[in-house]
Amino acid sequence: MTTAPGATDNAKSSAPPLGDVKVLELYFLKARAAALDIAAMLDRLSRAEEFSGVHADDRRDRLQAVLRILTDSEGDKARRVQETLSVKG
Amino acid sequence: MFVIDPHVHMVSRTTADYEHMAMAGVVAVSEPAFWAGFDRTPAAFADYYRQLSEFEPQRAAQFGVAHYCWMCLNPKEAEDLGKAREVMSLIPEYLKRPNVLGVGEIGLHKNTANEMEVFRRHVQLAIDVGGARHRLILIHTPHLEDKWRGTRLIIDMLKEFGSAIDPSRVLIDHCEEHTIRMVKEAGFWAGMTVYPTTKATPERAVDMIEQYGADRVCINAAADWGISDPLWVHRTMLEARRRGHSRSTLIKIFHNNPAQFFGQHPGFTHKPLEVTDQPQMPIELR
Repeated sequence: MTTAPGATDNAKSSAPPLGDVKVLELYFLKARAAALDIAAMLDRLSRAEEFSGVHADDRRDRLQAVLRILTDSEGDKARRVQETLSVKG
Repeated sequence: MFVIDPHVHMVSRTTADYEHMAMAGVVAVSEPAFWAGFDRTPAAFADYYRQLSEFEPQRAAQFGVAHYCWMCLNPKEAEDLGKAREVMSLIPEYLKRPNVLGVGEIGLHKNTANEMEVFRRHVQLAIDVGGARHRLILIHTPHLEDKWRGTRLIIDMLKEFGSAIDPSRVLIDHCEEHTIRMVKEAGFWAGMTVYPTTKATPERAVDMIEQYGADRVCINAAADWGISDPLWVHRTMLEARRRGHSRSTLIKIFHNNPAQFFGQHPGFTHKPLEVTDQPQMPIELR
């Protein structure tokens, strides 16, 4: 199990309450719908940018960075996405 | 704003839903025959068809909502061809009723050979009882990973009937981004179902209208016994308003398009409304 920095020893040693198949049974459709929402939002943004001829601001770049986190082989994705979308400093 | 809900399973909803829908401007609903969540006996279908065509109109009328329905054996119960034949023998009598708009929601669920056989039988029934023009047909397309192939198969099967099928009298429902183009390009009406998680969302439905146009499209929530809500139709209207679509466009999508499609049946009495977009009045003069 990949464990987040700062997790307790107890959390590190205990088995997760849901097995992998159960996780997919419970959350696959929700994740599928979320992926479609993101895809549709990016299409919407592209159509608008194509019409206006400009890129709105850096939020597209931040979203692209998030998408790279979703597809890389590393764990701890939720924390890293949050950090990518956080104001630093 | 007046709304016609083109696809809702009111037998699964409470009377309070009728009241909420009426308060939200719904003036008419169309209820296709569907799956009850378990496979029924032929006798149960006889009761169901009476419930759709006799009881639900009374419940709706309490709130000034006109109720229309469709008859069929749904694809989830189409595996038993003997049962399908028996149930389908009940349908022609109901198709004579003025509040029964046609045959639906037929279609495919898992794209099996028996589902396809029963689909073809239903299309033939719509042709046989229709006289010069076949009865209106409302079609369910499969969910999720089976949708693209199922929609393709449905269009191909409809084409087998040649000129006996008029695409302007067929609505293919539950279209999404990967199927709406093939449905509209083949000349059929396209339905979009706002049923988050397994079908479209308000945002994606409005996206599809912007990409493929507002002609020959209907938006519904297919509210049933699942996690659903008839007012997802209104949430979609709100999303379109929020993006700045005109009042006449909203009336077209949410009232006039269903009125145009269903109005091909003589029993459907709601006519399209004429709306003129007025210039916005300055806020200080309101």
